[in-house]
Amino acid sequence: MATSTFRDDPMIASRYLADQLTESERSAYEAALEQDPEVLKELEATARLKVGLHRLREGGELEGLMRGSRVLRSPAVLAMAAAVAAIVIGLGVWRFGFESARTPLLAATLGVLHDRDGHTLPLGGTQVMFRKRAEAYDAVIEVPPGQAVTELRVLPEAPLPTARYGVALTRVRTDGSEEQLDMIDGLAPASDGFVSVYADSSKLSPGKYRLDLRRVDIRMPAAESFSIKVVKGSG
Amino acid sequence: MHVQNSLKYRRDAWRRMPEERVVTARIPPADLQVGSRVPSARGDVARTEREELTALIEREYVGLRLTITRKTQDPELAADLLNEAIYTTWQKWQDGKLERPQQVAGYVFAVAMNLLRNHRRAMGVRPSKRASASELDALPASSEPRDEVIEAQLATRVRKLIQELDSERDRTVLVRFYLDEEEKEVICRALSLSSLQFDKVLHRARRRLRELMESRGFSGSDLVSVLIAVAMVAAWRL
Repeated sequence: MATSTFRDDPMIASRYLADQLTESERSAYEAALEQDPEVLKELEATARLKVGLHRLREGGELEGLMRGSRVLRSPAVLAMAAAVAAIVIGLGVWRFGFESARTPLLAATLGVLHDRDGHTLPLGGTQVMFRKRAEAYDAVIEVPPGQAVTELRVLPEAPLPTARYGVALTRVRTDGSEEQLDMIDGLAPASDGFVSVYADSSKLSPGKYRLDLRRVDIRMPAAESFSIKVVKGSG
Repeated sequence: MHVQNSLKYRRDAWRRMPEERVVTARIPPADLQVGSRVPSARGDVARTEREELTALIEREYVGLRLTITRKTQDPELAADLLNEAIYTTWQKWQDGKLERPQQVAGYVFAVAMNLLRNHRRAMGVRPSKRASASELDALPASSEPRDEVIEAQLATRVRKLIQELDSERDRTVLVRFYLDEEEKEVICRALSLSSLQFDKVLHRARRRLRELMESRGFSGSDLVSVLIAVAMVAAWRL
């Protein structure tokens, strides 16, 4: 089979990496890989795309991207958004900023959270979290100055290596009302039993929060709740 | 012989082999002493070339390397498979069975993917298996810190690509085809797309894919240059 056949096939590289080719298709494609650098180049690009997509899904970012930010870039909608933003700022309730609506607060892996220019945020600190029955808060998070990531290491009551967990972060206002800020699923515990989730700490204003940890690999799991106090770091 | 068949021996074969080749090519057997190393400056040159070649494969084909790592869920095993593929390819190159240096990288990854397939097949028939190959694919890979950074950079590029797609439908096609690895017919039926519309969506995405190739300064001519240099030195030795 001519290598140009593979250059023109938009699906062959992905199907090869997914091991979906028949024996004869694979043999012909592998011969083309050797003969035609363009075929190899496309395979490498496809592999990069797949790795990038996996990474975005693991970071809990893909669902938001699927809903789309293209609309936000049309001039009419941008103008409307700007007007709305001005009103919101005027009312003094602009707390999390425009970027907060576009980028997640929580991620499953370090490196997924980014600033408005697309630069990966640095790790600002790690906060270990487990139930403390004698204290008002299970954890006090000092938010570092600037935009950085805080790793939250949460210890379940009964850690299980094969379990998968979900985490939800909720802000608890002074009047007792609550607002769920973000949630993320599919977290695997580390070998020490802790479940790690990464938070863009610039989106955490000082106050009281609740972190709910629940199993997502079983039906009707009971959530474990951790109370958190966020304070400004002296940094 | 037992030692030479061990995994460690095979893993290090790529790094060790050229010294052995220099020994047989340049030193008459009568001059060889047991345990001696060849104090040749050419050995250093060969080592440098070898390291450049290995580094180039690792650097310019990060997508394929990371794909192998993700599929094995084990960075060390992935490195073993890739080293074995490079070793096999090098032998073929030395035997003159690869005609052009442009063929080497493609051959390396064809071998690596076959080794990976054999490994997964072997894992799949083990009585003690706990997860299928597709289930393993779905798990997050336990990456090296260096790979974490590279993956984050790739995610940044892919994020931009997704944001620039025209519609939610196009983004859905991209994710369901490339990430979820669903068949074209299934996606077309679910999204009420014709075959032509599906192909157009992929065609637009593929144009942008080439930008991903530039993320680390990819240039195919770099690899060819190194291989040509290796070939010239090998010819000079003979």
